[in-house]
Amino acid sequence: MDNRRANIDLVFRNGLKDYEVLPPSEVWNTIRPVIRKKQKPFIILRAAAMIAVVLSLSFLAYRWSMEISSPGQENNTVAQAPESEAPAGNVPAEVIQPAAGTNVRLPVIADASFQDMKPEISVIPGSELIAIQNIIYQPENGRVLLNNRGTLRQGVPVIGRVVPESINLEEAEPLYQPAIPVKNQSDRWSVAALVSPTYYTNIYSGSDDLGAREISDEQALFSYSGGVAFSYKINKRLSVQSGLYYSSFGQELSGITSFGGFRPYDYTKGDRNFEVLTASGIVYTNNADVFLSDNLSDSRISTRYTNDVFDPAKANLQFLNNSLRQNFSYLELPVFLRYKIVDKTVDFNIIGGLSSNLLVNNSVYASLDGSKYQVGKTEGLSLITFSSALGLGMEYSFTNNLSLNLEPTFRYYINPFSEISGLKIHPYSLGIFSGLSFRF
Amino acid sequence: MSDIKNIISGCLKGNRRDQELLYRRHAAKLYAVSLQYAGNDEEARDILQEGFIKIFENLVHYKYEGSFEGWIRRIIVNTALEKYRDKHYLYRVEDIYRIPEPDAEPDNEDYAGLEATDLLEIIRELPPKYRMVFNLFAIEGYSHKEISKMINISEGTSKSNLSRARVILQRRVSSYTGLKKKAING
Repeated sequence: MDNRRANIDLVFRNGLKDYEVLPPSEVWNTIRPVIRKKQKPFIILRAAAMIAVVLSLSFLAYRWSMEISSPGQENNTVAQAPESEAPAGNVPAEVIQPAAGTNVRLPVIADASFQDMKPEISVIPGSELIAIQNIIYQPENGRVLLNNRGTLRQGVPVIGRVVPESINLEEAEPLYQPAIPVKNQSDRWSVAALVSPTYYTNIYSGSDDLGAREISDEQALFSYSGGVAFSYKINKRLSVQSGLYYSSFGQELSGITSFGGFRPYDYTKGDRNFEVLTASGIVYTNNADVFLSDNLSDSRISTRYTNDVFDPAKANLQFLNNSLRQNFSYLELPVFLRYKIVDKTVDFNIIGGLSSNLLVNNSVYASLDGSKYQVGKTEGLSLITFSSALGLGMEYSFTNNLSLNLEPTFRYYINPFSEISGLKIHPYSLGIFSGLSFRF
Repeated sequence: MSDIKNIISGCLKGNRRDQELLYRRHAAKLYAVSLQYAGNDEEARDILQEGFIKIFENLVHYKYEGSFEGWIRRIIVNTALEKYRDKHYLYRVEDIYRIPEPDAEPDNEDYAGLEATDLLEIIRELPPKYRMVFNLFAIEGYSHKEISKMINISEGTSKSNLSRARVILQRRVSSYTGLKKKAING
């Protein structure tokens, strides 16, 4: 009895093992939007995280620049030093004999402790005590001067002595040279080498649902942009910038299987055996050795060699890849305006402008074991396109002439690379340019 | 394997073509599994839909260990289990179905005449508890101990449910094969 009952288990297990029932078509239509909806927050989160990182870095850089460029704040530690630590009447110092009337050069003012200043303080016969209140900091050029017009108040920390006759504010010698390089206002020109990884994608609108569906399935490939930029400073805050950039980007057309070795079976004249609909235009094959088939849709590829005419499996063609890669390269000539919003050690600029882009490379290939197998080109691409750009530039000066630049930049392409009837496709990109600039 | 790797990789990148390709390749088999567990077609569609959403959400956790088909099938079965638990089948099926012992056991030749559609139809006629235990034990290969934890029943109840499910199935198989023979012989 048990055996018989176990037997019925086997009947059902084996009988239903490879059983298949096609689900109603609407099931996929209900799954698809849910997956897409769940993916969107990730994209938004990624963008939000990127913005948060850029803003955090900007804030930290700003704080850092403020701290470096404000040595007067550090002087406060001197001013706030307890009186007991620096009594006015007990200045322990070595006595040296400088020439009469020589200015006293103070040691590092930023030192917090009066004790630290001991070895370098000089006492000159006939000199006066200098109070912290008589130190004048000039933020416009970062210099510190002595003023002998003030009077010494009781309780104010004393930081040195000075010969009264030698002090004159107008003729005073700077006591403190800031470590920060003071930018030379006459350096109007600069040249920069910049490079950026770029995220490139499209937004589209229109009534062509089929086209929209095909396009939405294309995946952006890793893109980059780089080049040389020249800028001319019109005034303290405004600069005009131009240069020459090379940018490369593209997309992956998944679901299109490519095979090699088709040439012996190609009985038609010409190489254009296959055409593939893409967001950037029609891809056509210019290599008669290539055979293409679409696993997912019967609307993307146009060809005479349909499945009922030719079977690549029977012909034993060489499999190349399950997707095609569409690549474009442009030479970009930008004209940007840069407006300096923060002028510190780390400068912050708003960058905006237009760029004209010249198409220099247009290729479609299949990737096979890391090497490229040429398939064809994209038809109908505009030779010149125009894009607008908006960015935030951060510039940190190493020396008077050399700076490090970081520029998150958003680019919107005013005219699309090609036109598809019924669809408006608006490409845009986001990149973070970084590099070095040299002022002269 | 490299093909499925490419598809999975595409799905993880959010490539809708690869998502659709994955669905088209496995939907028919998984829908049959859903029908096997569901009480009706609508419930089967829900299991398939929710199961596939989980598959896409959890693809990132698939480690390429064991067969991919087995992995996605388990997700569908788990989805069916969740649906089953949500419905709280509280009634005592033993009280509703008084199952008589079959008059005669069908022999192997009788089984041979049954097609997969017949088997699916027979299995779907089972009461939900019997169907769930039979599917988990006989088709998926879980033990009574595992089943007891899965659907929160005792091992004894699991064994009892399986036994009753087998009896019903044998009876249905006999009547099906009998009807078929009559139809063939005229």
